[in-house]
Amino acid sequence: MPGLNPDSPGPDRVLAAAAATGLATSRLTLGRQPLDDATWSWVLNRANAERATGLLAAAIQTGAVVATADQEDQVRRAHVALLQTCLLLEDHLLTVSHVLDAVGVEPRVVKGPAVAHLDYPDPSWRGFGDIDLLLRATEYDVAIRALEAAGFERGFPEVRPGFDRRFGKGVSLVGPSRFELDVHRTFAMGPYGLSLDTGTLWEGSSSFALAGRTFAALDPDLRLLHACYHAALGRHRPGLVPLRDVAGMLLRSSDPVDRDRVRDLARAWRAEAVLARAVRLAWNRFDLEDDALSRWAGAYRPTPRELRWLRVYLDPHMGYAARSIVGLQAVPGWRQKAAFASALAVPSRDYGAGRYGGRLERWRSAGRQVVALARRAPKP
Amino acid sequence: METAKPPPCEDGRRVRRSVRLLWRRTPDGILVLRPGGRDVLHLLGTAVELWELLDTPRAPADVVAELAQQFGAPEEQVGDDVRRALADLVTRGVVEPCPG
Repeated sequence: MPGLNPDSPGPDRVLAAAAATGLATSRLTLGRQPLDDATWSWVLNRANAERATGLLAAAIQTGAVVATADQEDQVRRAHVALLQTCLLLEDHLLTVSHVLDAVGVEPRVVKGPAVAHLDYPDPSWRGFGDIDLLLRATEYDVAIRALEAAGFERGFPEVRPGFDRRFGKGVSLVGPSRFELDVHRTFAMGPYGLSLDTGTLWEGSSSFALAGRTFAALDPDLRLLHACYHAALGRHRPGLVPLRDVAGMLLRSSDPVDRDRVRDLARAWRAEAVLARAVRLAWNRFDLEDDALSRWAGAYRPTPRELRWLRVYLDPHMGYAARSIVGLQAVPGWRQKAAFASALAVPSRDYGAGRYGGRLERWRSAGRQVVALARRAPKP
Repeated sequence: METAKPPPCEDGRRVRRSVRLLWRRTPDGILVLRPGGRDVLHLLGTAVELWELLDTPRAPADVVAELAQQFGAPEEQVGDDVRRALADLVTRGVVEPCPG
Protein backbone atom coordinates (compact mmCIF):
# COMPACT_ATOMS: atom_id res chain seq x y z
CA MET A 1 0.00 0.00 0.00
CA PRO A 2 1.73 3.23 -1.10
CA GLY A 3 2.61 5.72 1.60
CA LEU A 4 2.51 3.24 4.46
CA ASN A 5 5.50 2.97 6.75
CA PRO A 6 6.98 -0.51 6.20
CA ASP A 7 8.05 -0.64 9.88
CA SER A 8 4.54 -0.12 11.21
CA PRO A 9 2.12 -3.02 11.69
CA GLY A 10 -0.23 -3.68 8.75
CA PRO A 11 -3.18 -1.28 8.91
CA ASP A 12 -5.66 -4.15 8.79
CA ARG A 13 -3.95 -5.64 11.85
CA VAL A 14 -4.10 -2.26 13.58
CA LEU A 15 -7.83 -2.03 12.99
CA ALA A 16 -8.35 -5.61 14.16
CA ALA A 17 -6.29 -4.89 17.30
CA ALA A 18 -8.43 -1.81 17.99
CA ALA A 19 -11.63 -3.80 17.46
CA ALA A 20 -10.32 -6.51 19.79
CA THR A 21 -10.58 -4.09 22.72
CA GLY A 22 -12.53 -5.89 25.42
CA LEU A 23 -11.79 -9.38 24.05
CA ALA A 24 -9.86 -10.86 26.95
CA THR A 25 -8.08 -13.62 25.03
CA SER A 26 -6.95 -11.61 22.01
CA ARG A 27 -3.19 -11.68 21.44
CA LEU A 28 -3.23 -8.66 19.13
CA THR A 29 -1.17 -5.83 20.59
CA LEU A 30 0.25 -2.63 19.18
CA GLY A 31 3.35 -0.58 19.88
CA ARG A 32 3.42 2.36 22.29
CA GLN A 33 3.97 4.94 19.56
CA PRO A 34 1.19 6.76 17.70
CA LEU A 35 0.52 5.45 14.21
CA ASP A 36 2.15 7.18 11.27
CA ASP A 37 -0.11 9.40 9.15
CA ALA A 38 -0.63 6.97 6.26
CA THR A 39 -1.52 4.06 8.54
CA TRP A 40 -3.76 6.25 10.65
CA SER A 41 -5.56 7.62 7.61
CA TRP A 42 -6.27 4.08 6.34
CA VAL A 43 -7.41 2.89 9.76
CA LEU A 44 -9.75 5.84 10.29
CA ASN A 45 -11.27 5.57 6.79
CA ARG A 46 -11.79 1.85 7.24
CA ALA A 47 -13.28 2.31 10.73
CA ASN A 48 -15.70 4.84 9.25
CA ALA A 49 -16.67 2.52 6.40
CA GLU A 50 -17.21 -0.40 8.78
CA ARG A 51 -19.02 1.71 11.39
CA ALA A 52 -16.30 0.72 13.82
CA THR A 53 -15.34 4.17 15.12
CA GLY A 54 -16.78 3.23 18.53
CA LEU A 55 -14.32 0.36 18.82
CA LEU A 56 -11.47 2.62 17.72
CA ALA A 57 -12.49 5.30 20.24
CA ALA A 58 -12.71 2.65 22.98
CA ALA A 59 -9.26 1.33 22.00
CA ILE A 60 -7.81 4.82 22.37
CA GLN A 61 -9.59 5.36 25.69
CA THR A 62 -8.32 2.10 27.13
CA GLY A 63 -4.80 2.68 25.80
CA ALA A 64 -4.83 -0.27 23.38
CA VAL A 65 -4.16 2.20 20.55
CA VAL A 66 -1.84 5.15 21.16
CA ALA A 67 -2.97 8.21 19.22
CA THR A 68 -1.84 11.81 18.91
CA ALA A 69 -4.21 14.53 20.15
CA ASP A 70 -5.10 15.30 16.53
CA GLN A 71 -5.84 11.66 15.75
CA GLU A 72 -7.93 11.37 18.88
CA ASP A 73 -9.91 14.43 17.83
CA GLN A 74 -10.49 12.98 14.35
CA VAL A 75 -11.89 9.73 15.70
CA ARG A 76 -13.99 11.58 18.26
CA ARG A 77 -15.64 13.68 15.54
CA ALA A 78 -16.25 10.66 13.29
CA HIS A 79 -17.64 8.70 16.21
CA VAL A 80 -20.00 11.46 17.33
CA ALA A 81 -21.38 11.65 13.76
CA LEU A 82 -22.02 7.89 13.75
CA LEU A 83 -23.67 7.98 17.18
CA GLN A 84 -25.98 10.81 16.09
CA THR A 85 -27.16 8.54 13.27
CA CYS A 86 -27.63 5.67 15.74
CA LEU A 87 -29.82 7.84 17.96
CA LEU A 88 -31.94 8.96 15.02
CA LEU A 89 -32.29 5.31 14.00
CA GLU A 90 -33.41 4.38 17.50
CA ASP A 91 -35.99 7.15 17.27
CA HIS A 92 -37.07 5.53 14.01
CA LEU A 93 -37.41 2.23 15.89
CA LEU A 94 -39.71 3.92 18.42
CA THR A 95 -41.90 5.17 15.57
CA VAL A 96 -42.04 1.71 14.00
CA SER A 97 -42.93 0.15 17.35
CA HIS A 98 -45.96 2.46 17.65
CA VAL A 99 -47.16 1.33 14.21
CA LEU A 100 -46.76 -2.34 15.13
CA ASP A 101 -48.30 -1.87 18.61
CA ALA A 102 -51.45 -0.60 16.93
CA VAL A 103 -51.92 -3.92 15.12
CA GLY A 104 -50.81 -6.08 18.06
CA VAL A 105 -47.52 -7.22 16.55
CA GLU A 106 -44.50 -7.63 18.83
CA PRO A 107 -41.30 -8.07 16.84
CA ARG A 108 -37.87 -9.07 18.02
CA VAL A 109 -35.34 -6.29 17.48
CA VAL A 110 -32.29 -7.87 15.86
CA LYS A 111 -28.78 -6.77 14.93
CA GLY A 112 -27.85 -3.08 15.42
CA PRO A 113 -29.60 -1.62 18.49
CA ALA A 114 -30.23 -4.99 20.15
CA VAL A 115 -26.59 -6.08 19.86
CA ALA A 116 -25.33 -2.62 20.87
CA HIS A 117 -27.39 -2.59 24.07
CA LEU A 118 -27.11 -6.25 25.02
CA ASP A 119 -23.74 -7.50 23.83
CA TYR A 120 -21.20 -4.70 24.29
CA PRO A 121 -19.77 -3.14 27.46
CA ASP A 122 -21.32 0.15 26.31
CA PRO A 123 -23.76 0.64 23.40
CA SER A 124 -21.58 3.43 22.03
CA TRP A 125 -19.01 0.80 20.98
CA ARG A 126 -21.37 -0.68 18.37
CA GLY A 127 -22.51 1.47 15.45
CA PHE A 128 -25.23 0.56 12.96
CA GLY A 129 -26.83 1.96 9.84
CA ASP A 130 -30.36 0.64 9.77
CA ILE A 131 -33.03 -1.03 11.87
CA ASP A 132 -33.78 -4.75 11.65
CA LEU A 133 -36.82 -6.52 13.03
CA LEU A 134 -37.78 -10.17 13.09
CA LEU A 135 -41.45 -11.06 12.73
CA ARG A 136 -43.46 -14.22 13.23
CA ALA A 137 -44.61 -15.66 9.89
CA THR A 138 -48.19 -15.51 11.18
CA GLU A 139 -47.91 -11.76 11.82
CA TYR A 140 -45.82 -10.93 8.79
CA ASP A 141 -48.51 -9.80 6.36
CA VAL A 142 -50.45 -7.71 8.88
CA ALA A 143 -47.23 -5.98 9.97
CA ILE A 144 -46.18 -5.16 6.42
CA ARG A 145 -49.65 -3.82 5.60
CA ALA A 146 -49.56 -1.60 8.71
CA LEU A 147 -46.12 -0.28 7.85
CA GLU A 148 -47.13 0.44 4.25
CA ALA A 149 -50.21 2.27 5.50
CA ALA A 150 -47.89 4.36 7.70
CA GLY A 151 -45.88 5.46 4.66
CA PHE A 152 -43.18 2.78 4.47
CA GLU A 153 -42.35 1.66 0.95
CA ARG A 154 -40.94 -1.66 -0.22
CA GLY A 155 -37.69 -1.62 -2.15
CA PHE A 156 -38.94 -4.44 -4.40
CA PRO A 157 -42.31 -6.09 -5.00
CA GLU A 158 -42.98 -9.53 -3.54
CA VAL A 159 -42.32 -12.53 -5.81
CA ARG A 160 -45.95 -13.54 -5.34
CA PRO A 161 -48.48 -12.64 -2.66
CA GLY A 162 -47.62 -14.63 0.47
CA PHE A 163 -44.14 -15.63 -0.74
CA ASP A 164 -42.26 -13.55 1.84
CA ARG A 165 -44.29 -14.98 4.69
CA ARG A 166 -43.72 -18.57 3.58
CA PHE A 167 -40.25 -18.59 2.05
CA GLY A 168 -38.63 -15.16 2.07
CA LYS A 169 -35.84 -13.83 4.22
CA GLY A 170 -37.74 -10.57 4.60
CA VAL A 171 -38.19 -7.22 2.99
CA SER A 172 -36.41 -3.90 3.03
CA LEU A 173 -38.60 -0.85 3.58
CA VAL A 174 -37.88 2.85 3.53
CA GLY A 175 -39.87 4.96 5.95
CA PRO A 176 -41.10 8.55 5.70
CA SER A 177 -37.91 9.70 7.44
CA ARG A 178 -35.90 7.90 4.67
CA PHE A 179 -34.19 5.50 7.04
CA GLU A 180 -34.07 1.84 6.08
CA LEU A 181 -36.10 -0.74 7.95
CA ASP A 182 -35.32 -4.41 7.25
CA VAL A 183 -38.11 -6.75 8.29
CA HIS A 184 -37.02 -10.38 8.55
CA ARG A 185 -38.80 -13.70 8.79
CA THR A 186 -35.60 -15.73 9.00
CA PHE A 187 -31.82 -15.19 9.23
CA ALA A 188 -30.82 -15.51 5.56
CA MET A 189 -32.29 -15.93 2.11
CA GLY A 190 -31.71 -19.22 0.31
CA PRO A 191 -30.95 -22.63 1.78
CA TYR A 192 -29.69 -21.55 5.19
CA GLY A 193 -32.72 -19.34 5.79
CA LEU A 194 -35.11 -22.04 4.62
CA SER A 195 -33.60 -24.84 6.72
CA LEU A 196 -33.90 -22.82 9.93
CA ASP A 197 -36.83 -23.62 12.21
CA THR A 198 -38.23 -20.11 12.68
CA GLY A 199 -40.52 -21.30 15.49
CA THR A 200 -37.45 -21.77 17.72
CA LEU A 201 -36.64 -18.06 17.41
CA TRP A 202 -39.67 -17.22 19.55
CA GLU A 203 -39.08 -19.63 22.42
CA GLY A 204 -37.13 -17.21 24.63
CA SER A 205 -36.10 -13.58 24.60
CA SER A 206 -33.93 -10.86 26.08
CA SER A 207 -34.96 -7.26 26.53
CA PHE A 208 -33.49 -3.78 26.51
CA ALA A 209 -34.95 -0.33 27.14
CA LEU A 210 -34.95 2.73 24.91
CA ALA A 211 -36.49 6.02 26.03
CA GLY A 212 -38.67 4.32 28.61
CA ARG A 213 -39.85 1.48 26.37
CA THR A 214 -38.85 -2.14 26.66
CA PHE A 215 -37.99 -3.95 23.46
CA ALA A 216 -37.75 -7.70 23.00
CA ALA A 217 -34.68 -9.19 21.34
CA LEU A 218 -33.53 -12.75 20.63
CA ASP A 219 -32.06 -14.64 23.58
CA PRO A 220 -28.22 -14.72 23.83
CA ASP A 221 -27.81 -18.08 22.06
CA LEU A 222 -30.02 -17.05 19.16
CA ARG A 223 -28.31 -13.65 18.93
CA LEU A 224 -25.01 -15.46 18.58
CA LEU A 225 -26.37 -17.72 15.85
CA HIS A 226 -27.84 -14.75 14.02
CA ALA A 227 -24.47 -12.97 14.27
CA CYS A 228 -22.80 -16.11 12.87
CA TYR A 229 -25.15 -16.19 9.87
CA HIS A 230 -24.41 -12.53 9.24
CA ALA A 231 -20.64 -12.92 9.64
CA ALA A 232 -20.30 -16.18 7.72
CA LEU A 233 -22.78 -15.63 4.88
CA GLY A 234 -23.20 -11.88 4.62
CA ARG A 235 -20.25 -10.95 2.47
CA HIS A 236 -17.45 -12.64 0.58
CA ARG A 237 -15.01 -10.81 2.86
CA PRO A 238 -16.65 -10.72 6.27
CA GLY A 239 -16.98 -7.35 7.92
CA LEU A 240 -15.05 -6.44 11.03
CA VAL A 241 -18.06 -5.60 13.19
CA PRO A 242 -20.03 -8.83 12.51
CA LEU A 243 -16.93 -10.82 13.50
CA ARG A 244 -16.47 -8.66 16.59
CA ASP A 245 -20.10 -9.38 17.49
CA VAL A 246 -19.43 -13.12 17.30
CA ALA A 247 -16.21 -12.96 19.33
CA GLY A 248 -17.69 -10.64 21.97
CA MET A 249 -20.80 -12.76 22.46
CA LEU A 250 -18.72 -15.91 22.89
CA LEU A 251 -16.12 -14.44 25.24
CA ARG A 252 -18.16 -12.31 27.61
CA SER A 253 -18.54 -13.59 31.14
CA SER A 254 -21.94 -12.06 31.99
CA ASP A 255 -25.06 -13.65 30.51
CA PRO A 256 -22.90 -16.24 28.77
CA VAL A 257 -23.91 -18.16 25.69
CA ASP A 258 -24.90 -21.81 26.16
CA ARG A 259 -22.42 -23.31 23.70
CA ASP A 260 -23.99 -26.79 23.79
CA ARG A 261 -27.40 -25.38 22.90
CA VAL A 262 -25.86 -23.26 20.15
CA ARG A 263 -24.26 -26.33 18.58
CA ASP A 264 -27.48 -28.34 18.97
CA LEU A 265 -29.48 -25.62 17.25
CA ALA A 266 -26.92 -25.28 14.47
CA ARG A 267 -27.10 -29.05 13.91
CA ALA A 268 -30.91 -29.02 13.88
CA TRP A 269 -30.91 -26.13 11.40
CA ARG A 270 -28.29 -27.87 9.21
CA ALA A 271 -26.05 -24.86 9.83
CA GLU A 272 -23.01 -26.31 11.59
CA ALA A 273 -20.80 -25.13 8.73
CA VAL A 274 -22.10 -21.58 9.27
CA LEU A 275 -21.29 -21.67 12.98
CA ALA A 276 -17.87 -23.21 12.35
CA ARG A 277 -16.99 -20.69 9.64
CA ALA A 278 -18.04 -17.70 11.75
CA VAL A 279 -16.11 -18.89 14.80
CA ARG A 280 -13.02 -19.69 12.73
CA LEU A 281 -13.11 -16.28 11.02
CA ALA A 282 -13.58 -14.44 14.32
CA TRP A 283 -10.78 -16.35 16.05
CA ASN A 284 -8.41 -15.69 13.13
CA ARG A 285 -9.31 -12.03 12.80
CA PHE A 286 -8.71 -11.22 16.45
CA ASP A 287 -6.00 -13.82 17.10
CA LEU A 288 -7.92 -15.29 20.03
CA GLU A 289 -6.58 -18.05 22.25
CA ASP A 290 -8.04 -21.41 21.28
CA ASP A 291 -10.80 -23.00 23.29
CA ALA A 292 -13.02 -26.04 22.82
CA LEU A 293 -15.41 -24.32 20.41
CA SER A 294 -12.67 -22.81 18.26
CA ARG A 295 -10.89 -26.18 18.10
CA TRP A 296 -14.14 -27.78 16.98
CA ALA A 297 -14.63 -25.03 14.39
CA GLY A 298 -11.06 -25.36 13.14
CA ALA A 299 -11.43 -29.10 12.70
CA TYR A 300 -14.88 -28.93 11.12
CA ARG A 301 -14.99 -30.20 7.53
CA PRO A 302 -18.16 -29.21 5.61
CA THR A 303 -19.98 -31.99 3.80
CA PRO A 304 -20.51 -31.74 0.01
CA ARG A 305 -24.05 -30.50 0.70
CA GLU A 306 -22.72 -27.77 3.02
CA LEU A 307 -20.09 -26.74 0.48
CA ARG A 308 -22.84 -26.41 -2.13
CA TRP A 309 -24.94 -24.30 0.24
CA LEU A 310 -22.04 -22.11 1.38
CA ARG A 311 -21.00 -21.49 -2.19
CA VAL A 312 -24.22 -19.72 -3.20
CA TYR A 313 -23.47 -17.09 -0.54
CA LEU A 314 -19.72 -16.75 -0.92
CA ASP A 315 -19.11 -17.11 -4.65
CA PRO A 316 -19.43 -13.63 -6.21
CA HIS A 317 -20.96 -15.20 -9.36
CA MET A 318 -23.92 -16.47 -7.37
CA GLY A 319 -26.98 -14.44 -6.53
CA TYR A 320 -30.70 -14.68 -5.90
CA ALA A 321 -31.31 -17.34 -8.55
CA ALA A 322 -28.56 -19.67 -7.35
CA ARG A 323 -29.68 -19.33 -3.74
CA SER A 324 -33.26 -20.06 -4.74
CA ILE A 325 -32.34 -23.12 -6.82
CA VAL A 326 -30.17 -24.56 -4.08
CA GLY A 327 -32.71 -23.41 -1.51
CA LEU A 328 -35.29 -25.74 -2.99
CA GLN A 329 -33.36 -28.57 -1.31
CA ALA A 330 -34.02 -27.00 2.09
CA VAL A 331 -37.77 -26.43 1.64
CA PRO A 332 -39.58 -29.13 3.63
CA GLY A 333 -42.21 -31.34 1.92
CA TRP A 334 -43.10 -31.80 -1.74
CA ARG A 335 -46.13 -29.52 -1.64
CA GLN A 336 -44.05 -26.67 -0.23
CA LYS A 337 -41.26 -27.33 -2.72
CA ALA A 338 -43.80 -27.13 -5.58
CA ALA A 339 -45.20 -23.83 -4.28
CA PHE A 340 -41.69 -22.39 -3.86
CA ALA A 341 -40.54 -23.47 -7.33
CA SER A 342 -43.69 -22.34 -9.14
CA ALA A 343 -43.61 -18.90 -7.46
CA LEU A 344 -40.05 -18.35 -8.61
CA ALA A 345 -40.66 -19.75 -12.10
CA VAL A 346 -43.79 -17.65 -12.66
CA PRO A 347 -43.59 -14.60 -10.39
CA SER A 348 -46.15 -11.82 -10.35
CA ARG A 349 -45.94 -9.25 -13.14
CA ASP A 350 -44.56 -6.50 -10.89
CA TYR A 351 -41.72 -8.64 -9.63
CA GLY A 352 -38.39 -7.70 -11.14
CA ALA A 353 -39.38 -4.10 -11.72
CA GLY A 354 -36.39 -2.04 -10.68
CA ARG A 355 -34.29 -5.09 -9.93
CA TYR A 356 -33.64 -6.40 -13.44
CA GLY A 357 -33.65 -4.85 -16.91
CA GLY A 358 -36.84 -6.84 -17.62
CA ARG A 359 -38.12 -10.41 -17.65
CA LEU A 360 -35.62 -11.45 -20.29
CA GLU A 361 -32.71 -10.10 -18.25
CA ARG A 362 -34.03 -11.87 -15.14
CA TRP A 363 -34.00 -15.20 -16.97
CA ARG A 364 -30.57 -14.46 -18.44
CA SER A 365 -29.18 -13.71 -15.00
CA ALA A 366 -30.72 -16.91 -13.62
CA GLY A 367 -29.33 -18.86 -16.56
CA ARG A 368 -25.82 -17.56 -15.95
CA GLN A 369 -26.03 -18.64 -12.31
CA VAL A 370 -27.34 -22.09 -13.25
CA VAL A 371 -24.39 -22.51 -15.61
CA ALA A 372 -22.00 -21.32 -12.89
CA LEU A 373 -23.55 -23.77 -10.43
CA ALA A 374 -23.09 -26.63 -12.90
CA ARG A 375 -19.57 -25.71 -13.93
CA ARG A 376 -18.06 -25.13 -10.57
CA ALA A 377 -18.91 -28.34 -8.82
CA PRO A 378 -17.59 -28.22 -5.26
CA LYS A 379 -15.02 -30.71 -4.07
CA PRO A 380 -15.70 -32.27 -0.70
CA MET B 1 -43.13 -3.63 23.77
CA GLU B 2 -44.13 -2.36 27.15
CA THR B 3 -43.33 0.88 28.94
CA ALA B 4 -40.43 0.53 31.42
CA LYS B 5 -41.08 1.68 34.98
CA PRO B 6 -39.43 5.00 35.93
CA PRO B 7 -36.98 4.91 38.85
CA PRO B 8 -38.59 5.26 42.30
CA CYS B 9 -39.00 8.85 43.36
CA GLU B 10 -40.85 10.00 46.46
CA ASP B 11 -39.93 13.66 46.75
CA GLY B 12 -41.69 15.94 44.27
CA ARG B 13 -38.92 18.55 44.50
CA ARG B 14 -36.31 16.16 43.24
CA VAL B 15 -35.16 16.10 39.67
CA ARG B 16 -33.76 13.28 37.58
CA ARG B 17 -32.53 12.40 34.14
CA SER B 18 -35.58 12.12 31.87
CA VAL B 19 -36.32 8.45 31.22
CA ARG B 20 -37.80 9.22 27.81
CA LEU B 21 -34.54 10.05 26.09
CA LEU B 22 -32.26 8.30 23.67
CA TRP B 23 -28.63 8.77 24.57
CA ARG B 24 -25.05 7.63 24.08
CA ARG B 25 -21.71 8.26 25.72
CA THR B 26 -19.03 9.89 23.58
CA PRO B 27 -15.34 10.19 24.49
CA ASP B 28 -16.00 13.71 25.81
CA GLY B 29 -19.65 13.83 26.78
CA ILE B 30 -23.18 12.55 26.27
CA LEU B 31 -25.36 12.73 23.16
CA VAL B 32 -29.06 13.10 23.86
CA LEU B 33 -32.08 12.96 21.56
CA ARG B 34 -35.68 13.50 22.55
CA PRO B 35 -37.92 11.04 20.69
CA GLY B 36 -39.47 12.76 17.70
CA GLY B 37 -36.82 15.48 17.82
CA ARG B 38 -34.41 16.38 15.06
CA ASP B 39 -31.56 17.90 17.06
CA VAL B 40 -29.12 15.77 18.96
CA LEU B 41 -27.76 17.62 22.01
CA HIS B 42 -24.12 17.12 22.93
CA LEU B 43 -23.70 17.55 26.68
CA LEU B 44 -20.19 18.59 27.72
CA GLY B 45 -18.43 19.66 30.91
CA THR B 46 -20.70 20.35 33.89
CA ALA B 47 -23.76 19.10 31.99
CA VAL B 48 -22.11 15.65 31.90
CA GLU B 49 -21.53 15.74 35.66
CA LEU B 50 -25.20 16.62 36.14
CA TRP B 51 -26.25 13.83 33.79
CA GLU B 52 -24.24 11.28 35.76
CA LEU B 53 -25.51 12.53 39.15
CA LEU B 54 -29.13 12.54 38.05
CA ASP B 55 -29.11 8.87 37.22
CA THR B 56 -30.85 8.76 40.60
CA PRO B 57 -33.35 11.46 41.64
CA ARG B 58 -31.87 14.27 43.76
CA ALA B 59 -32.96 17.59 45.18
CA PRO B 60 -31.22 20.55 43.48
CA ALA B 61 -29.58 21.49 46.80
CA ASP B 62 -28.04 18.00 47.00
CA VAL B 63 -26.78 18.32 43.45
CA VAL B 64 -25.08 21.61 44.32
CA ALA B 65 -23.50 20.09 47.43
CA GLU B 66 -22.29 17.04 45.53
CA LEU B 67 -20.73 19.04 42.72
CA ALA B 68 -19.16 21.52 45.13
CA GLN B 69 -17.49 18.59 46.83
CA GLN B 70 -16.38 17.08 43.51
CA PHE B 71 -14.88 20.39 42.34
CA GLY B 72 -13.44 21.24 45.77
CA ALA B 73 -15.23 24.61 45.74
CA PRO B 74 -17.61 26.32 48.22
CA GLU B 75 -21.31 25.72 47.52
CA GLU B 76 -22.02 29.45 47.28
CA GLN B 77 -19.46 29.70 44.48
CA VAL B 78 -20.88 26.91 42.28
CA GLY B 79 -24.53 27.11 43.36
CA ASP B 80 -25.73 29.69 40.83
CA ASP B 81 -23.98 28.03 37.91
CA VAL B 82 -25.29 24.60 38.79
CA ARG B 83 -28.86 25.83 39.25
CA ARG B 84 -28.69 27.68 35.92
CA ALA B 85 -27.37 24.58 34.17
CA LEU B 86 -30.10 22.47 35.80
CA ALA B 87 -32.79 24.90 34.70
CA ASP B 88 -31.41 24.83 31.16
CA LEU B 89 -31.48 21.02 31.10
CA VAL B 90 -35.06 21.03 32.42
CA THR B 91 -36.06 23.45 29.64
CA ARG B 92 -34.49 21.16 27.06
CA GLY B 93 -36.28 18.12 28.49
CA VAL B 94 -33.04 16.40 29.48
CA VAL B 95 -33.84 16.63 33.19
CA GLU B 96 -37.35 16.42 34.62
CA PRO B 97 -38.96 16.97 37.99
CA CYS B 98 -39.90 13.70 39.61
CA PRO B 99 -43.65 13.00 39.61
CA GLY B 100 -45.45 13.03 42.92
